[in-house]
Amino acid sequence: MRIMLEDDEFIQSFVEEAKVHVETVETELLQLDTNNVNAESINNIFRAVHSIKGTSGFLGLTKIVELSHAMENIFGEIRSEKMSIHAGMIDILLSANDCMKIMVNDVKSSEEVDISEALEQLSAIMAGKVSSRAEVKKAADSEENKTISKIFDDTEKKRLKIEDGIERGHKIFCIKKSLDGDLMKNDLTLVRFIQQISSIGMVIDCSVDLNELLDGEHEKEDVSLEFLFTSVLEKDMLTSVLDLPEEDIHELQAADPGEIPATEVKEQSAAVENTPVVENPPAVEAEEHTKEVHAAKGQIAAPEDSIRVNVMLLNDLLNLASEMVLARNQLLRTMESHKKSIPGIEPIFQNIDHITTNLQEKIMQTRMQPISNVFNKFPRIIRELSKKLDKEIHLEMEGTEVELDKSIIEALGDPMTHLVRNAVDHGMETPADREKQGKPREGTVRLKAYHEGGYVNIDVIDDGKGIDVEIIRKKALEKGFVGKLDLASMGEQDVLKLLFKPGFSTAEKVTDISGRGVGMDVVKTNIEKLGGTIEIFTVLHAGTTFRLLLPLTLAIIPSLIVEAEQQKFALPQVNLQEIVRIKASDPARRIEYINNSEVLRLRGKLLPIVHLADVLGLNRTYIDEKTGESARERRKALFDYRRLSQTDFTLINDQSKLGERRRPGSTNIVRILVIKIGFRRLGIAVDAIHGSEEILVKTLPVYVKECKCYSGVTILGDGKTSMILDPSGIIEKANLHFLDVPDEKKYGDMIEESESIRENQNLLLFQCSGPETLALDMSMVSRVEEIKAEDIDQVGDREYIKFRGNSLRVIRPEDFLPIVNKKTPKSKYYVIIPKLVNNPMGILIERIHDTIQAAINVTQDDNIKSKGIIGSTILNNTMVLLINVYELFENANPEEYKDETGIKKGVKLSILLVEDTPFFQMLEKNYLEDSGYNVFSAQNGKEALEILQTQKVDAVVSDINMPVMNGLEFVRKIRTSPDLAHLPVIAITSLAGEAQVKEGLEAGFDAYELKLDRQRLLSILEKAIQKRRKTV
Amino acid sequence: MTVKVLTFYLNGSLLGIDVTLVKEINRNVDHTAVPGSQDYIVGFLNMRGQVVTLFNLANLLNLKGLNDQEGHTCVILKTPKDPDQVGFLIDHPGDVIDIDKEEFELPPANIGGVEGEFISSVVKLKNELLMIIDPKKIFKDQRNTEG
Repeated sequence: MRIMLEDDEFIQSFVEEAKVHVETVETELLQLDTNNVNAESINNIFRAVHSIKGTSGFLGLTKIVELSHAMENIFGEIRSEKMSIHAGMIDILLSANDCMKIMVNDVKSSEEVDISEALEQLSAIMAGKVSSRAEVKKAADSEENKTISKIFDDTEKKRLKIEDGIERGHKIFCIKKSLDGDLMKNDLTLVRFIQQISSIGMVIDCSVDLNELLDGEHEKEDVSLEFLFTSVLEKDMLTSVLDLPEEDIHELQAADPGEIPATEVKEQSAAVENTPVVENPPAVEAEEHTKEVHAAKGQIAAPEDSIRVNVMLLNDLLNLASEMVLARNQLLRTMESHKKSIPGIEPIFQNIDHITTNLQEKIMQTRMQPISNVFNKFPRIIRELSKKLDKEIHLEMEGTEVELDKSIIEALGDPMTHLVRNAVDHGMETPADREKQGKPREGTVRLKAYHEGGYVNIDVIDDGKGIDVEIIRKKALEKGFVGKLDLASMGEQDVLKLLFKPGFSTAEKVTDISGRGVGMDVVKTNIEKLGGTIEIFTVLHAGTTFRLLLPLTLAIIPSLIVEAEQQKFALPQVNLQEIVRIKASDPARRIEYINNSEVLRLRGKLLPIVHLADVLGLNRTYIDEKTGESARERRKALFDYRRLSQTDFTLINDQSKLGERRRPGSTNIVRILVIKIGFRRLGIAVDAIHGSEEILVKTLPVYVKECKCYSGVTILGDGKTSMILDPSGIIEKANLHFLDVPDEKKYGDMIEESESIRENQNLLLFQCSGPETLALDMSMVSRVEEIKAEDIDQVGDREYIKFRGNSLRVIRPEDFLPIVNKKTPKSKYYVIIPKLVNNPMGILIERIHDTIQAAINVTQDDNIKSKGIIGSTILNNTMVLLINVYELFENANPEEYKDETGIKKGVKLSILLVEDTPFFQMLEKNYLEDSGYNVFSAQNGKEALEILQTQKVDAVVSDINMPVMNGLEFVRKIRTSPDLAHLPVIAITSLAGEAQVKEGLEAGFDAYELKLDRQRLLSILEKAIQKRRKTV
Repeated sequence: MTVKVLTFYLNGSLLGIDVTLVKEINRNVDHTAVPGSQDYIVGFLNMRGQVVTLFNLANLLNLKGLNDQEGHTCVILKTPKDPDQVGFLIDHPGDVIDIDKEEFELPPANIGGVEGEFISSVVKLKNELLMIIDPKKIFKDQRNTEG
């Protein structure tokens, strides 16, 4: 069979479509493997294979046709439920599909591919999985096969004829006639008619329109015939020769029949009847589809949402857009000064600016493809690998819709494959090993893609055995990658980076999957070529994560133009966190020195500083004040004083001139760019900052590839070339070693966090007869009632009011607290009705100020301390006294409150109080101490655990919401620790919803109580201690 | 067979290059240095939107003479197969002269070392000697060392 090479375009589009179909088949087959038989999947596979068969059929690709035909048969059977699918078949089908893939990828030599094995296996399936209707089925099959192949042959012949005709410049026509009506009646036998046509052309096909005949409601007497033929004659000539009206003869476009197998043309021509325009060749679909075409009279094929475009064209577009950006930069830069002089031009510039940026962005997006293109091959790979290595592995993929530039997607394939193979081969333990460790037999490999900070992160996560850093250290030493001294100074991250050295492998033996030590460094180089970085995180026995950070865009990036030593450089903004400006005189921001290296304290964290000029190897110069010349800067630290000339040394001993000696450098302002890559941060000191510009990244010419500090070159708006700085290269060059695990919270972070978790207090501010402002926690306030003076009843020296049908005693705070007592009769008062108190009494006050919500720092000033006042604080510039309701009530009603004591059997019990909010800590400590307990306090779970290591306590009272380690974690830790598990632990919290209570009790708390309910707290504490005692 | 050779002066010496390998000669070029690069790289030049790598030929050929050329004239070579454009600085260009192929002589044995390789042949002109350089050799070597 010859393949018409001029049809390269057809072949190309066939190949593209076929590739998609082959992919579909593979994906669906894999899904069928894991899930149950899904009718939709079967259908999809059937349709895909059928399409391939059809289109390849008429391009003359016989082998492809044969194979797809065999597969189609099988799926036809499955679809009509005459055969059921199972695992063994899937493998055969997958390998048959692989065969197909090979052929599709190289169509021109597809004829040479040996598919006999695949065909054998496939026919074995057809034969072997036969139901009871064995014999008949077989016969029918072979019969069917024969007829099918016969039709095929015919199709071939027909197609050949069509092609032949087209070659010779024939046109293709179709005539529809009814047998009786048109022909017979006119005394024209069928044979004669065909002969007539043959005389003026070549008959391709004649067929009966069975559909019309068979599914009509009425009995049909007549039948429609269609004739397909080629002829040199024009349509009008045909009408005279054949004696037919013009409208009966339809001309088909020369291009189309070339793509439609003859059997389809029949259906097409039926459609042609309804539409004078022949649609573009639709993909060859199953019968049902074409019936739809019948139905859709005159409708054009559904408009496609996407168009195939040549990649080269897109690349050219992209380049042009990038050049446009540069040109725009230049234009704007040059016109900067002239803008004002030309009226009305500024908005035009802004417009051009805006449009150019958008244009460039959109064109970049045309090349974006979802990362699923890379991820999709992994289910298969994992399947094969797990079979091969006898491990059970489950693959999860997340973020498959994340998009990346096409070139990155393409370049990612190999590195990712390597990483996944590594994870499976090296990382995963055998199922037996996993079971021994208590892990699930099935290991999980997760591929995660997500956006973060201008980069796309791709994580390859496995829950295998992790990387043993010690082994790496040993191997590195053995193989001579690093010296002993260096090794000692390397943190975990640095040691892990050694994995990327070429030739490094800790595998015991080389398998064909990995272990040759060739892979990892190639992965790293490939990723770096794309401008990305790779990080490793690992926990021994728990798993490893490889993280790829890839930049979102390649071409145009916003960058900052900086200057060092009169040279301009561009720094991509994606890594730039902030810019710090330091004046020598500013004490808050100071550059300090550790071992001759400069560091900056920035918001509590230390930031290493390097000078750009130093890193790049430029000689540092400064302008000498006296001579105005630039001279070599020899100071290492910018703020040291410069040594004066020799003659001035005589002044050194002269104390009076001491001040003059200290001359600050001419540059007493330093600008530092804070750069962050992944978790590494550093500061780069530069001389000047010029502004930001969108620059086009041009690759570094090969001659300067050695310079690690540059990631590319660009042309600035002023026409000069400028190097683009590469922060990770700078880090390498400056020899910075970053210590590990950024997750380790440094002190500064802790402070921030504690502040945010610290609970806000809701306070009610009020006033009694004195000038002092008092405060009461709102959670202790049930309601505030307004009453008139006459509502107060006096009984003895006590006052009562009527509240909710009962009489309620009210007390005036000034009677029991050391505050000013200037009672004057007022007409109205307010009564605060408290809650969480066993024997509530109303608190009579004169004025309500406000409610305020704030995090308060309570100072326990001994001057003001007394029973009833917790302490004081400053709010809105006034001093506010915080009232302790319990103590106040105790004062007012001493008999009511029994002496609760925690002294049992003469031993004072100790309680560990874990609470981060100072207000509550103080309050609760008071309760507990007053009841006779000895109280240890801690700010959070971690501190508490530390205390528990050294101190013996009898019970623990803990908050839930705490920084560093919250209450739930804390109690879990206690319960899992053998020497602490017996402790009674009570949760006290401001959250007490049912769900929280349940969570708390499940985590291990003995009881779960609300913060301010003192009575309950104390009684529950007692009970809990007793209960635990019993069990111990 | 005559070959057209572009002659130019570099550090006082007269050199020549096959004119078909030359793209253009640029004067008053504004180049920017690349800190941290090798000595023989003068810097980059913006040529109509393209980045051209400028070499210090005198350095490569070890030509003694006036040091540190702040020259602003350069020859830019055609690089059909290479996306990276290259060029080198010169003092000033001479004429394009026709030379008969037979006049090309091998360089004398006492020009040793690497520099000898860069000079493909020597031609005796009326008053002076002309050294013809082989740019392919020069730039290919540089590329290889960069890797």
